[in-house]
Amino acid sequence: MANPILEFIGVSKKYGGNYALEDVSFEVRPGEIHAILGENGAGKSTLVKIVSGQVQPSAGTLMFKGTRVTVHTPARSRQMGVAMVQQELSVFDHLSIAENVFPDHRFAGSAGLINWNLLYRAAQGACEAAGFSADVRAPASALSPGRKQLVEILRCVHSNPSVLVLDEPTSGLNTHETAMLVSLLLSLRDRGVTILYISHRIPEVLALSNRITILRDGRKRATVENDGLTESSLVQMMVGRDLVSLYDPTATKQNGSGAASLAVEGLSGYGSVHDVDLTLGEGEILGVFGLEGSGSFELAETIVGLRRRRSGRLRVGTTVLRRWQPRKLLSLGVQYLHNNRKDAGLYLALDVSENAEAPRLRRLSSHGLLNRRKLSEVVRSSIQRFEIKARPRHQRVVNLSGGNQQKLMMSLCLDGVPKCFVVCEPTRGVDVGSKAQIHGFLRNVAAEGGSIMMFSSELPEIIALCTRVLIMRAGGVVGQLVGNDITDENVMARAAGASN
Amino acid sequence: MSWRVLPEHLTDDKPRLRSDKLGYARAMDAGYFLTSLAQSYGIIFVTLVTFVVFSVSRKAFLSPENIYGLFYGVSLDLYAITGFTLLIIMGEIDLSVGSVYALSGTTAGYLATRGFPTEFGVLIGIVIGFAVGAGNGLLVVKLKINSIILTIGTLLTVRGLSDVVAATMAGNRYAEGFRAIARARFLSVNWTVPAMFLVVLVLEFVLSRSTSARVLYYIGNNGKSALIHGMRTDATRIGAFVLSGGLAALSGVLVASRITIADVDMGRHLEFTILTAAVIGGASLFGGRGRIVNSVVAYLFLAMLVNGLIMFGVEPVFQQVIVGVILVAVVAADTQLNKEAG
Repeated sequence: MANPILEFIGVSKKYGGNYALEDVSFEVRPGEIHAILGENGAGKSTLVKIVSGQVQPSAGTLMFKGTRVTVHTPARSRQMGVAMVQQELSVFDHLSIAENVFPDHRFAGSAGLINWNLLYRAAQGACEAAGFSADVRAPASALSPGRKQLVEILRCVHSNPSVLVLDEPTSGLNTHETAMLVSLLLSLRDRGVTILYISHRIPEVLALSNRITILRDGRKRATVENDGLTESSLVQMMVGRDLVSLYDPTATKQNGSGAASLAVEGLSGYGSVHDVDLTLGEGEILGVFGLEGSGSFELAETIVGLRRRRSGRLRVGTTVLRRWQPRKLLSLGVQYLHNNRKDAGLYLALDVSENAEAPRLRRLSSHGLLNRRKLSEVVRSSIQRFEIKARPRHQRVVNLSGGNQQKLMMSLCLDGVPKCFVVCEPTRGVDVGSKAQIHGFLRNVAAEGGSIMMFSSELPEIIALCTRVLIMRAGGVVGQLVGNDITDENVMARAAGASN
Repeated sequence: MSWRVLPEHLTDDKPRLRSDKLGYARAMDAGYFLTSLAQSYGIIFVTLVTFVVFSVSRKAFLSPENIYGLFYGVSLDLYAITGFTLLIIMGEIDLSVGSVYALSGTTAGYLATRGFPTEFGVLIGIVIGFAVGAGNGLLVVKLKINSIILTIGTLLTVRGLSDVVAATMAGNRYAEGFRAIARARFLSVNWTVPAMFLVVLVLEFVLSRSTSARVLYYIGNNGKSALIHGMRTDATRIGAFVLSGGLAALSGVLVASRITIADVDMGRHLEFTILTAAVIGGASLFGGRGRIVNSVVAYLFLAMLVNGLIMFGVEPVFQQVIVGVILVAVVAADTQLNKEAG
């Protein structure tokens, strides 16, 4: 067996009194794709930061190519040949795609001037090899978030690393882009690049990796060969319990009754939504799926009144609206969960209590003044009901794990049962435990007569929860699938425009 | 089932730092605690220290007339500071306050001097402030213009108008009735001084408890979240600009009444002094943080500093240098502290 390229020996990291990582040892072999799997808060990100030099371990040793190394700074880690794809996007929006792929001066001539032709040709080649076509002279701002992420990955790939580290690389990618990334990584591995791959998405990890290290509560639970593993066995190692299969096909799906709780008629926005009609039945979970750029999230924002409309009407119960804002819809019982909690839906710099108060300000006040007692009761019970691990008055939301942030954001929408719940990416970047919980919350809403319109780019989630799916392409609804017709193939075929 | 268990210590709801102001997010670690503390009380402490240093070293500083003069000055500018801070909390800025202050004050005095009733002059002055504020607010909100750029535009426009009015007055004294406004007494002091304490107390209470005031903090933290959560973000934004204009006008009228003679330089660079005070007082230019009382205390601190340094023989021309250096130092320290606190 080849000597390990990267080896962790008894690595610990302590923050305050708590171990983020405790005595973790494992090795990464050259030329393998090694996945790190674990719930949020299991210590995955800390591990990655140690490799990339962003944090120093409290104890333990890191070996690189057989010698003991101390990685003080990210620059040192780059020098060693470790390239890191961060969770957050760091694309230069105003520079061309080509300059983003090759930000160094690789194509500089003798006078230090850039050889643009060479640069563009190389970038074009890089993009095509990765399977996507784009005008590399165009500014990166023109790309969808998923494509930006791919550009960022290409940049790391082309710095010729010996170890490539990817931290949740697919959290912003749709199914199609994920497939592109998977084939790109497999071809890199075949060229001998070692890849350390951190992800929540078990199917990807199974499809990609040679070996998998599972972390739980800061400790290593196991490092296993990816041979004959199943999703449920991995989940069990991750969470230390048997989950009902993530997307339990036997879990009851809610069939909506006939009455429409919300109807959209002839809705058009500016640019991305064209003439959409749809009806949502009481107690129904309606899925809306579209690939990146299809306008599905724009549709959601237009429906709840966050975007300008060109035309269209909205019917909520028996009320017909021609003009509306989120505030108006809230008073009619329509709640909205935003697709990106970093963008909106929470107040990251404030603490948990202050967040929990925001949507309830009017309800928790008398004579225009806040009712402190009522307030702390509501906050406490809501935090308990949604099983959010946080100290309401001590912890800024930005410091919570993704799963807890997402549950908090959802708890802000679900005081009672909303008449209608417009949900976008309900489980974006959350661990499997939280994911199951969130799906449980959604099923409850439907079971109690609320209707849900779910916009998600995760097809398995839609298939598991929805009885009816609308497919969007180019800003319009291009198809509908019901019941057993809702399959991967059927949905993708319509979303990608392969058949109709 | 680790995620189902909610250990007791995680639900402990006892605040360690008993400050409930929105925007002063609390945390468990010492670094964050210190930052919070510095943001809440730092300026009060610094002001007290400065006061003691000047009092001990310069006899003239501690004279009742001098101290009273400082408070009286702040009590006139208080309203402009208040309006400005409300906007900063919301993540917006109004750089036209100094110009509005000058135009409103000079116009009110001019009208009173030209024989209109004093009340009429004051009313017109304040209406001008509301109008400029409404213009700022509507343009920022409806056309989504960056408020820094927009209000630099209004700063220049309104300053031009104010110069015209001041030139018309050509160094004449304002009418007797108009000059009496800021001089009216209450319990043997100018009424604006007790009014200041009352106003600050009421505002502190309102900003911490009133739901409509808390909306400002939420908008300042994340306007889109506030919109999703059913707050009237556009109306609140416009309202705050209107208020900022009107309050700047009120301060301008009071100050014009105090200075007796029309002054072309009235309120020049006031926006930067107030901005400095707000930032020293712990407000963030990114919004979501700030307190009226801290801005006012910081403004008093700046006035005291300039006043004390003059007594040390520092030339008035250096005042601006000192204020500028302080602003840079405070912003640097604040950024550093926040970085350490994560």
